[in-house]
Amino acid sequence: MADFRKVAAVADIPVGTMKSVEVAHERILVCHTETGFFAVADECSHDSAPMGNGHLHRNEVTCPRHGARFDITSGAVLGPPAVVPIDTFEVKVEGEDIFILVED
Amino acid sequence: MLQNSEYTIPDISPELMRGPQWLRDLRNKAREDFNQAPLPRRGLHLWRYTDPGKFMYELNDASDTTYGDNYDVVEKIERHHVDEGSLAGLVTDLGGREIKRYGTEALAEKGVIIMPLSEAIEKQHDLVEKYLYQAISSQTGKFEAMNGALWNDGIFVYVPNGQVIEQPLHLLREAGMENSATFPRLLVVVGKNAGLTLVDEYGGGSMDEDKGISFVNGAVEIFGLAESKVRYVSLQRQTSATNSYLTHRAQIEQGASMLTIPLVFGGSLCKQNFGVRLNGAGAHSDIYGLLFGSMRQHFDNHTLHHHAHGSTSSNIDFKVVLKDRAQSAYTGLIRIENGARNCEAYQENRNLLLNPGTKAQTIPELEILNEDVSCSHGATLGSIDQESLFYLQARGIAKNEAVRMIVSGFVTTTLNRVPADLRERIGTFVAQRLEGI
Repeated sequence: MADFRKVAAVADIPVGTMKSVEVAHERILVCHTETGFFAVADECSHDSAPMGNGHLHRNEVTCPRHGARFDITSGAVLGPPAVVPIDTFEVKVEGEDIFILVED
Repeated sequence: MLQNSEYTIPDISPELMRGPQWLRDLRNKAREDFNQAPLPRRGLHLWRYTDPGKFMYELNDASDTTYGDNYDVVEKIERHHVDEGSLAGLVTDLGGREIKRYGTEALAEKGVIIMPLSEAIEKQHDLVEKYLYQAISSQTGKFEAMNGALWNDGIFVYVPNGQVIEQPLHLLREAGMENSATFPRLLVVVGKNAGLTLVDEYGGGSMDEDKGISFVNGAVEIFGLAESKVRYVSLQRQTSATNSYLTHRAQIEQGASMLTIPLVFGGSLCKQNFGVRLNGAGAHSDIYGLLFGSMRQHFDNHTLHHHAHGSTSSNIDFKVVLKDRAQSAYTGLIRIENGARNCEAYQENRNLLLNPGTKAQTIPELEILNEDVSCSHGATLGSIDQESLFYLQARGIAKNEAVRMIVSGFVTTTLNRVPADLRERIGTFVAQRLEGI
């Protein structure tokens, strides 16, 4: 069953930054851009690297290990060596808290 | 028991600081090496797919004195095997706090020594001092140093020269339940022309993550002297909220052979490292591994065949089956030293993924420092062959039954190498995981 879980406070993730969280056994990267909050799997589909220490530019996250790039709004691959998209998660903000929809 | 990547071991408790000065010094050195070693970086060799922080906990409040009911059941089964003569003996180890022997008297008459490490340090001092910490030292790695500092008690097995133990010796090692930390340790020395089959079973642990996980960090050192024959089976069947780290290192000498069978079924997060160093001409090592993961289990296994001497040979076949959302990473290294000519080494890792959502990584590695060798490695990764499935279904076999038959065929070659007393239980583990397919 899927439900929204609180993962962070809005103040924890300023615009232009991202934060890696673990919820319901999923490692998720919560990204804050000028267009809002987005959440993607914190695991590069190329070599399973965590991307929390990578680079966020607009809607694009770059994996720190080999430079694969993903669109955080859709999970789509924007640059090699990854070829498989990463999972995305629905995000909602209520008051000062950020919630992510995850499966139990 | 809180996860803490910055954890350092304070002074070692007086309870652990027993025994001769050399042992206390080695424990202290292990503590210092653990505290000084940085946490392995993600992306570092062998840590690409597993977060090392998952093996770091505030251990100050960890209890290791509560054990689950299943332990009694398994102990009864294995005691029955001793009574009926299919096992040479049974040793039970409750987190290093209580180590009991069952049916080992006949072995003692043959000169075989089986006792808690703490007792062996007193009664077999020279043997233990010669071998303990020699294959796995505090320099091996941060988590090996952690075990080296904190192991409470362990098991010591010595088989004298020329003595061959026909039936397997079974070690049953139980992890504590929630919020526990245990550090099992095993030291095995098999003399010249001697033989031993050892089943090393790791069970227990926490079953409810909300109540707290259990953490296990084990170390296994095995020495096979010249012309010895050792079979070592490692069975991991810990419970669903257990994070387990195990390092196994064996050294075999001239003409010796070693068969290592890692059977990996349990735990939530399980990282294991099996390694054999071949030190003398004619030494031969086989590793036949079988891993079956389900639910959200995460496995990270490494094997090492280190050819330190020429005219040695090795073979690895590591099979992985995954279903649900289980993940496995396998890294297999064959290293052949510069002067080690005329070596033969083979390595194979096959991964069978039963549904989308599973993930397997396979990294076969060769480090060959001379040109006079014969080496190969291979890896496969895929789902069940649809043509095979169609073939079976076309003969009136239901799809789920056909899948079970194909998986059973995939694992059978490994299961056939498992000692007979264990084969039925391993078959049950596989069958349980195939239920609902």
